[in-house]
Amino acid sequence: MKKIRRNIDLIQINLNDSDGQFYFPENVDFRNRKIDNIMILGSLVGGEVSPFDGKLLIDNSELSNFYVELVDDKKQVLQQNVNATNFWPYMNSPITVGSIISLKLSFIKYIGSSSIADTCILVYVSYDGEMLECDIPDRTHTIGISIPAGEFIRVSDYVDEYFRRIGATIKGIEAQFDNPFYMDIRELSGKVARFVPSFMMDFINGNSSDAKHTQPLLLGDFDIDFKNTFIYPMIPGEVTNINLTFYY
Amino acid sequence: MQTKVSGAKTVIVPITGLGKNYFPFVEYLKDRYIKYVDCILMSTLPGAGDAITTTTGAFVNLAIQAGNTYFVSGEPLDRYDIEQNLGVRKPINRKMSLQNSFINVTNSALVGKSVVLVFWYDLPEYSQRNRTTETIVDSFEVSLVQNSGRNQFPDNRTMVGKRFRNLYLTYPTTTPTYADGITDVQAKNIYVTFQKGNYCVLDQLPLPLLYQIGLLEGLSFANIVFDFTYSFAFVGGGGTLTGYAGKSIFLNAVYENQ
Repeated sequence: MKKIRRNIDLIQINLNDSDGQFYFPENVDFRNRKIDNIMILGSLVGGEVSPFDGKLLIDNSELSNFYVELVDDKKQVLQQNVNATNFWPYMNSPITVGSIISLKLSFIKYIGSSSIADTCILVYVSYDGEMLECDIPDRTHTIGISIPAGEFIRVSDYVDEYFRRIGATIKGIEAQFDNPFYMDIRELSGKVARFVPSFMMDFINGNSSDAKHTQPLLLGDFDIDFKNTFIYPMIPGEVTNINLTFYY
Repeated sequence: MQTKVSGAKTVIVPITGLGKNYFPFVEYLKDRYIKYVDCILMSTLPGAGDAITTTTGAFVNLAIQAGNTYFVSGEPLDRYDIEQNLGVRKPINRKMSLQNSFINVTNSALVGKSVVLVFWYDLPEYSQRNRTTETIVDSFEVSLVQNSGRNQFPDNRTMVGKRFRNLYLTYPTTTPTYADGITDVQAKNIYVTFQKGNYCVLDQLPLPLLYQIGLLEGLSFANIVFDFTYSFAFVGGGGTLTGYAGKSIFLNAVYENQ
């Protein structure tokens, strides 16, 4: 099975009622890096907020009125008028990008009549991917986490000492949860998967009529620095219960 | 979908009574290498008659090309329903005999209606290998001008002669040209035909099959080609439907950048 070793980063685009066309903010982390694919996150459950400033995410149903235009570093339009719902988190066959993107020339435009002021969308970017031939490992380690309302947790407090000491290289992560969360994953070498939403780890588990992923979130060989890896609830004021499974 | 397809043809199977209901003979699918078969519950048919509203009580039997052996026997039609299976298509991967294949019906509610089946096939002379890894994603809209029958595609100069890898349907309320988009309910009455000259690449394809969001497996086309000027969207219902004229079908197309 093919998997992707990758970095995941995100940018927040603040919305208002006056512009209609919102350019991507510059990002030094993946500027001049090859983008594998992007994912656009709105509010899927209701009440989710941005991990940066707590601004409310726009309702997912409104995303169908957003259109993405991506321009590469040679000023060639790679993707034009792509409906934003094509980038939603549960896409098992995502539209790939495969080029360096000029962020300052790329934008998302809104064509709709609802008020979108004081909301935002999050654009997740997977970059520097590398295709590797590898099976999903069958060794797993599962931890149960309960995050009290209004708090966040450090993952190392929940991973037992043995698992931390054997130096396991994490290949993938799967999550089951009652309320969504962000997981800010750091690697010992400095590689990051920033504020990864739980929706990207929602792996199909038995019979389900809901949209799920057909494989765990594959990170490649990720030596997770558990002490610097945190989980934040997406909906403030809600208790969040999570079963987190590491594939190693 | 894991493997690429070159084309699709819709076959309407009338359910005339309980028991065996044979597929029609389709000359075009003879000797075709069938990759997948889908069933979809549409609201109306492109022609006369009603579509089935449930897959319960229908069992599929598929015959090999020689017609004397069944490689699928008594498999529930539910397995072919693309919505129930979240896009996981029933793999066939062989040539088959349609006129010897049949649906065994035990549910009297299906009698007098028709099953909409889509046969996805491989056609090497039309499906070619990738020439580049770089793709471009663009959009086009099909403006519906009438509530029934054919609505021609626009004459799109940008995408003439392109080799398409995928088509994504979405349901925006407002399209980039400020037209009203169709809804998911309306899509269940629309069939699209993508033609290259006289050859139907995707023949009477039920439009909802191009909606791929939330599915476990997506579509993948083997660099298909088609002419916008010959292609059309067909609204079924035989003139009984309203509210389609003035709306747009919004599609995103992925094609090779060359």
